[in-house]
Amino acid sequence: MNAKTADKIATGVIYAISSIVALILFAMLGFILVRGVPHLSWHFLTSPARAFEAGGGIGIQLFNSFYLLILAMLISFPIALGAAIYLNEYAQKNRFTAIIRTAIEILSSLPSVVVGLFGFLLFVVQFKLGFSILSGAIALTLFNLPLLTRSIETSLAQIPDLQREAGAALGLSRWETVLHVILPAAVPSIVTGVVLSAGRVFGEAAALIYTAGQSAPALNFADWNPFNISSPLNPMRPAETLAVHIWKINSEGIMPDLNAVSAGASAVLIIVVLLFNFSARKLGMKLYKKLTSA
Amino acid sequence: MTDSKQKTILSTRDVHLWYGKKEALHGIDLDFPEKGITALIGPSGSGKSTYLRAINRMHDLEDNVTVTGSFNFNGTDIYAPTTDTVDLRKRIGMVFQQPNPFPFSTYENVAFGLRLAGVKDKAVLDEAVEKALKQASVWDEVKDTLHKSALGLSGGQQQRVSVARVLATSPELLLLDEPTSALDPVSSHNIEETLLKLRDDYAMIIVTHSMSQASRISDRTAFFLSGDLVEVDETKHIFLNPEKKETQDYVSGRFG
Repeated sequence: MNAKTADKIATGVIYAISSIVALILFAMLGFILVRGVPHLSWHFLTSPARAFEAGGGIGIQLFNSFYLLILAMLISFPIALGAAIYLNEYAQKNRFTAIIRTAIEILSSLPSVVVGLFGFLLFVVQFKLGFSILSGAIALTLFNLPLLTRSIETSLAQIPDLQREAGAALGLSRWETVLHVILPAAVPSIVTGVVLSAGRVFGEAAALIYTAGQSAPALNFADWNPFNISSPLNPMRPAETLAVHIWKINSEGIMPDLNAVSAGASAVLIIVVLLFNFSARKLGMKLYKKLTSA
Repeated sequence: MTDSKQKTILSTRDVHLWYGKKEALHGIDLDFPEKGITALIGPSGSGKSTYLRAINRMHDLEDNVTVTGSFNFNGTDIYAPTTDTVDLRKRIGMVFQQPNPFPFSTYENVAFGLRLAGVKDKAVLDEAVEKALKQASVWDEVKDTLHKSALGLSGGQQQRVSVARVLATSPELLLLDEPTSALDPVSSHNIEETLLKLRDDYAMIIVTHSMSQASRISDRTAFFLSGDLVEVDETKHIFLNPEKKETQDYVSGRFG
């Protein structure tokens, strides 16, 4: 067999393998969307779930998912940003930073159900936070923190050292250089990373089952005082999210239209995650353009 | 241009520098007058850039570099423990080999140092930006796109904006680390013209690989070889009538 034939065969095999991967993805997406989209309606997206009869929606779960996501991001982003800035801009190569890096790696490989159980024991039981949005947000933070830190650190590392030298040579302190030069330059790629991780957090179920809980009490969307128990903003109420809802109705749901609700909810979940993924790239590119050629 | 009567702005004595255990500079004694251009020439690895970066303590950014010797900069001991590098680098500006504008507009790049120093008055900033860009001979090319990103400019324009950014903070001394080696001939020429215009007002030290550049723009030239200062004199002496044989060999292109 000569080199040309071998090359053709190799190319063919590689194409076939990548096509299979793409095919599996599209088949899955297609299956979920074709099954689910017909059930979507304004009513389905906004009304509360019903446990025993048909015609329930996912309104509260959808709201819970977004609220939890925002809270989790509010907690994890500043911590991840600080850690990433430290690791990339300040940390010297020594034992201490090696330990931090290893810790982050281990944290990122923890199965999310373990994070959930840990959150249950520590926050729900020990700290008496109960099954609540707050417990869930903290669990999601543990789950999200290592990946977000890594992603921001990569964004900072992409900024060439020339910029750091230019800052230093201009008489900027290290912090001023980070704040006024490095961070603005890294914003597009940081934003992309944050939105991508938001997609992952949005679809997370295992870490939430034992922390944010599996019930979605009725909410009064006219009451925005976070201290009232029926207020959507109350962080101490239990809050079943969309992903947890899908898991729950499939394992113990008894409503007659359970298949329709499950299919519809899955479609919504997938659509939101896809939106996050596409908009992450778009947003990053848009910001980059704005920064470089505005 | 320069003569021995000029005041000295920077005086260095017995400068040694180590990268880890490897000694890269073996005791450099060099003085710089308060106006005019001094060129540091020599083959790659001769220590000229290393010496230049020791002047504004850029080596502080790296681990494992040790500098000894005395650096007297207008009365300031550069390496004294009490010397603040941030203040020092405001007084000693630096332009690098690669143009490195920040990812902001041209205006913001040049106004940057002043804004950090607390200047808020827009009229003052406008004036300082225009003055610095004119000094750097790039005003005419960028005045219509001042508020667009500096990253959209050509390499030569970016480098002159980098020069303007440094000039805006009114440094006492300007270090230039091969400022034209990444540029095309036309842009290099523009930068040289810019430096020639500035040499009556500023003290400048330029590291260059181009001997023709050194001979075109510098008043004095220092020849470095293997971490030693071989010879320093008025540029025309170095090029026409050097005292040391190594200098003669280098400037006539016999090695390097």
